[in-house]
Amino acid sequence: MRREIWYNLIIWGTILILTGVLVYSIVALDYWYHSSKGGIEDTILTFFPYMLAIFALLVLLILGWKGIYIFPIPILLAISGVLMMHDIGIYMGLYDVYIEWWDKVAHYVAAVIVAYIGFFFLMYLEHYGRTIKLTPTFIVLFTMAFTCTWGVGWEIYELISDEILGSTMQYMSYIDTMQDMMSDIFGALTVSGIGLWWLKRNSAETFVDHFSADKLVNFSRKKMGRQDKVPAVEAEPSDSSD
Amino acid sequence: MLVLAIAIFFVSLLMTDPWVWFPSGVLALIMGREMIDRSNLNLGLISSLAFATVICLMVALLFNFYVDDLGYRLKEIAIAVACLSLGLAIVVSMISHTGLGMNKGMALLSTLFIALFLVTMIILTLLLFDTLGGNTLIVDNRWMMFIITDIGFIILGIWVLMVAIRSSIPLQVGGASR
Repeated sequence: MRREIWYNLIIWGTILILTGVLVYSIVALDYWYHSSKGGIEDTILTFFPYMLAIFALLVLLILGWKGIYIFPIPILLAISGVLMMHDIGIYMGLYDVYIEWWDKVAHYVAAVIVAYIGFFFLMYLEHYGRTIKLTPTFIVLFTMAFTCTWGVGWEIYELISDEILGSTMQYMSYIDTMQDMMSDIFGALTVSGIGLWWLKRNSAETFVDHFSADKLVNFSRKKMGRQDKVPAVEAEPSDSSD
Repeated sequence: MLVLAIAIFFVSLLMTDPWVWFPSGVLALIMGREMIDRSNLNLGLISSLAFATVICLMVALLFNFYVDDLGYRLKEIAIAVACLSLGLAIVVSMISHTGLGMNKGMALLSTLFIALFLVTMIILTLLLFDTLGGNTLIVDNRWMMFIITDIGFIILGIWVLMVAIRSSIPLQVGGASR
């Protein structure tokens, strides 16, 4: 119960802070993308980072409310942290004044989160999958590949945003893109290293004991039309004497 | 041996001299032979695909295909095929040698991510060469278009693989299941 309270508190706190940052930047700092309040592109670019963060938080909130899946608190804190870093960076102009480490740290933390999501996905697959048997080497390799692919996906998103909406997310420089991708790789390496160290000493069963996803798996199986549930209910031994 | 062959193969892809690619092609063939000896024919087929890709790259360079946009697109197709086949070779060899067990969906997903990871590594290496050596292998944001083309072809390749598996072409993934 206490975990649920913390879960809701962190999400609502983050929403409150993000809203405050948005309002403050528009009212006090007169923030508007490209400083022109006319174009539809600028309006979209102004509110898009906020809307994206709120959408992500609402998804987490609904998952928690429905009891489908509650993220571990450290991961939730990291997600909230990176959303706040990104939005504060944009609205307070920290990216624009070239605080170089701000962008790199944001990429690093985001990569760590994505890598953890990849790692969790594999742990659950190993535990709940019927025909899946994964090895630590494969888990590390997949986590690396998964994270770097997402990193490239983000860079493509930046390119599309620059080309279509006229933003300057890439700062017109491929050096910046390369450094972003390097930060992503360091994030992936961090989680892969920790994951490998952990897997040498523990198993997927230990992992699921700590971070159960029974309800999420049952929810997914129900959506796919499958009847079997986890944990499997043991059949009562029939009393033959009757 | 296998790791060395893969490493030289990838470094050679970054060179512009076909005489560097030729030994790498031979190495890819050796890699294929190694895999045939140790596991099954499918790995040999996949390695042959990687080898054929290197040959295609060499031919394209010899005939100066790279001077126009079509040539560049052809090169991207070749790199996408090479990465995809190497990704598949890695997954299938891990299934054969390390006791890894997975269904076809998971095998394809893993292949997709590993192939994209390899493409990323190639692009990142090129960027690193430019930054450290002052080369101009990458011009402005054009590399983004390359990587998008690569990703497109890799996804297309995964779709072809899905059809191939469904049509019961002998491509044994998911050997060890519990």
